[in-house]
Amino acid sequence: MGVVAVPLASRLFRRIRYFLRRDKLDRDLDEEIRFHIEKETEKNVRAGMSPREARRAAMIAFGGVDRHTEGTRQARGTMLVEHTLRDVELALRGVRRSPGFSLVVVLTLGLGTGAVTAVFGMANQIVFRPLPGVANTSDAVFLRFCGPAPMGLPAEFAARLDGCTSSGITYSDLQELRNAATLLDGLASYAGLSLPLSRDGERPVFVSGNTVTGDFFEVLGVRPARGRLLHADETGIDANPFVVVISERLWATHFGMDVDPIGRTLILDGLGFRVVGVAGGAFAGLERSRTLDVWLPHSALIPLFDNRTRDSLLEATTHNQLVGLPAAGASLEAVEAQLADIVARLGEGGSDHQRYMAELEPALYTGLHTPVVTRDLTRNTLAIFGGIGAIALLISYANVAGLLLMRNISAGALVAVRRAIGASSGRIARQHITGSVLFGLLGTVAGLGVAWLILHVFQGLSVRQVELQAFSLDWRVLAFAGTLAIGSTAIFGTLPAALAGRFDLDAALRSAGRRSTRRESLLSRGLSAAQIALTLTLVVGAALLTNTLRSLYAADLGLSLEGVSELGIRLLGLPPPSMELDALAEQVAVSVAGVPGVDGVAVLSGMAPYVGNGGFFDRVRLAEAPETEPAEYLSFGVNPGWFEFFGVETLRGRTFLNDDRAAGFPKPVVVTSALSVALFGGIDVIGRRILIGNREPEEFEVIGVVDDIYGAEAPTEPRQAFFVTLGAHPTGTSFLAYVRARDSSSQVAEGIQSAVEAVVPDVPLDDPVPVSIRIDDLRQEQIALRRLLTLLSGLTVLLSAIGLYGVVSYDVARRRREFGIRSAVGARRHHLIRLVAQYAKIVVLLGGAVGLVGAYALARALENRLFEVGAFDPASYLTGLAVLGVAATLACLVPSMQASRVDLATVLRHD
Amino acid sequence: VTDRSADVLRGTLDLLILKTVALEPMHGWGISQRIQLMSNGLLEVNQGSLYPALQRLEERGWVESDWQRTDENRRAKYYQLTAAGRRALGAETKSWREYVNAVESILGTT
Repeated sequence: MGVVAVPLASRLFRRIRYFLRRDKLDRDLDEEIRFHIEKETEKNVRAGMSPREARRAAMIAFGGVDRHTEGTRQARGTMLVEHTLRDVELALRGVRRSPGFSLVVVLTLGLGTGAVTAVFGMANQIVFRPLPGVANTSDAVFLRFCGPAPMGLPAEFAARLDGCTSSGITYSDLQELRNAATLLDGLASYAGLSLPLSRDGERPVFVSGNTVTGDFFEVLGVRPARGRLLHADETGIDANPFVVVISERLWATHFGMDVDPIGRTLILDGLGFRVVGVAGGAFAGLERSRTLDVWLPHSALIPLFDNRTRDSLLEATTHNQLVGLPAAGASLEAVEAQLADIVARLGEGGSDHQRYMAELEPALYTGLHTPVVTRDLTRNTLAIFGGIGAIALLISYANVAGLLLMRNISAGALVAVRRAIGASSGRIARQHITGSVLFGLLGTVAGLGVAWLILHVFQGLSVRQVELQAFSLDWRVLAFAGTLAIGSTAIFGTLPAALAGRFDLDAALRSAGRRSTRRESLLSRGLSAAQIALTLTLVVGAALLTNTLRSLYAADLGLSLEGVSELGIRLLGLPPPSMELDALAEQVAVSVAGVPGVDGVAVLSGMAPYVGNGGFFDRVRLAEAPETEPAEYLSFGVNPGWFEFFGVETLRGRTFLNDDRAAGFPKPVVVTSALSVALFGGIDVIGRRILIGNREPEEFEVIGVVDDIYGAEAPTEPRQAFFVTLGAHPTGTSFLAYVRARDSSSQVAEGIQSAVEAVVPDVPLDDPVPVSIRIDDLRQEQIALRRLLTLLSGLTVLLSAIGLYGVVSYDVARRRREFGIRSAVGARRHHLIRLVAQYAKIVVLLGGAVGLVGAYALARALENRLFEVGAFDPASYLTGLAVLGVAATLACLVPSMQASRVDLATVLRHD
Repeated sequence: VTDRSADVLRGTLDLLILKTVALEPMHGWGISQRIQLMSNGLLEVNQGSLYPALQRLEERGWVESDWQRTDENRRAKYYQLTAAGRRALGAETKSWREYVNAVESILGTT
């Protein structure tokens, strides 16, 4: 049969109708069969049988009323739905019958799922939150040129530096690149600067800003709040330099919001700049750690640095950052390939620098959310997040699975009975699955609630400058977690049904009166021990990851910064000959050191040493190979006491002495360990000569190697830096004073300021800022993420404690009857507690031992994720054991106290 | 009737039911009597298996049923052929004949 096709739609429609009218159909079928049998009986009576015989014959001819009734029902094609409904009903009845158990299961699932969902949603928002005012935050890319360090470095050392050695690009090359890169809709460059802003009748303040190409704002998608932003034709060095775009913040603080700033003049470093526009959307630059207020065309550098010629500006490899907007449809690979072609073409027969550039590979970094240097740290942080999130989910699922398994083992007798009266194993398994899936669903719903609650609590809370907005739930994570929850509960819900095949009815019935057989008790003890082992393993894993993150952040930057404040001192209109600056700085140091409460002073010229992103770079080549292309390394000018002040250890040779200030030729230079490797392969460093500088390089002799220093944003990569005396450093007009004070009271701060003013009057001075605050600003995302991680770790520990409590206390509670009898025959409470403790001791010791082994295995597996935390990190293992101890004690104490209070009559009735 | 021949007969049972109700609307017991009669008692099907078959045919839309009064004024569920059932009967009869001929020709040649 089946030659004629039956339309699916009408069949489906009929099935729905059958399903909706299933009760009536059942009644009809009964009546129909009754009618059939009556007719057949009547026929048999007519044929001469006795009524009883006739009916019996009719029944035989019909052949099993139940079987055919069931067969007819099945032919309706609605059985699956009907069975499922019945299973759901049964499962719901089960939930109602043991509300405590159900609550623990649902809450455990909900807490795990919800916490992970909420925390991941927030982490996602923190990392990928758009930059204020930058519409193209996700679309735009950072561009860097990467490659091996130059200077004919030995191969084995070159390999150590194979990351991206960022290189600057000259203005003329930038122009070529911009014109030829057709796969980029725009390629803008920007460079940081800080300028004194004159104010009527007040001391000038320093404002930070960028010099930019004209298309900078267009590439970023910044809109003007007032006036206009820069135009694309304001890029060249011939463009009118005296225009400025200001931030909304500067508009409010300098002019007042009620004043139209357009056309007004801003005096920056003594020069007048006409305000042409205000950047909208609270745009404050591309670095979240620094709020910028002014944007000038690159051409403004010419009047601002009047000590440099136009030509040197054109030729200088500036540390410009590049940001581009890929054309619609252009893949990153295609853009990179095109840029590589262009740079290679530039290299053919070009200048030294162009030939060097040609060897570099352009690298694009998608999205402007995070500065390139902090990406490693952020990526590591997120990986650790993923690890702990997975552990949290695993713990909650393992807990629930353990509870379900334990309950279903005690339900073994029931299952055996049901099998004996004819339920098929498939049917029983389906019932278990339905019950478990119901728990999974309820848990997911509870998870939504938990996630909502966590998000609600954290909404509007700001961590550093990262403000947590009203977040939406991350549905992808929730769907994932929900699937896992339902899946794992289903698996562990079915397992006992499969095991139940091995329960024999006789034994089950005999044991039903006693509630727990020896075998069950062994099984559940084994399960408790396994639960303890798993929890211990996972908690130790989570602790290892959390400790890794802590050491990543607390990573020693190679500088002792405790109690240190920073004070920028910029000498206005006093471009002294360099030796004068040296002497001046020394005078400031002496003057400040005399302030009560101050323990030490150090002076530095260049960028703050703990900043990982950028700095003051200078060109270096080996004196023995002056023809090679120079490489650029981080450069600092420091006073003689600087190394001691920051606790930077001398590894070889010596650091500066007071006499070195006036040293003749060659001047002394101190290099970090990383730079000694980069320059000389780390061998025979002392006494080697290097040439420092661009146009007229000066010869320096290496007098010492010091320990490495690190940038706060990338604390795992040592910086390749060198130190010269203040007088030999070319920055000229500004330096940073570092003061270590016993307290940070305003009295000390004022004392410091007046001590500086005593030496250099009339210079703009900010309040001294603790370096720790500066570092936190540089790492604000990571700090926010770390707070979230602490929350997640806390929840993980809580979850594991709840789970352990649940499983052990359930096991103990199963012995209520025994306790009831014991106390009825005179056992005291402490006897009972000792009994439980004895039981717990075995389980905890066994589980703990297995768990420690598991934890070590997990730690070994995680080993290359760990940073400065060994696989045998004692703190992590102690955390795990402490959680285990507290949870196990509570889990045994509370239920045994309860059990000892219950009187026998109640227990027996309950059973 | 052994189990095996019952299996073979299941498909033909559907065909017989269709043929039976094609003559006039009939209740389940009537159908069972008619099939027994028509096959001269050779095809003695388990009467109860009629009902799953009827349900199957109804689910396909080949027969429909309603409650009517019998001659003795008792309530009974009557089945009748639908238009789709009539088409199906024609097609199934044809394919059955082809099948029988095929088997026949094989038996004839050996």
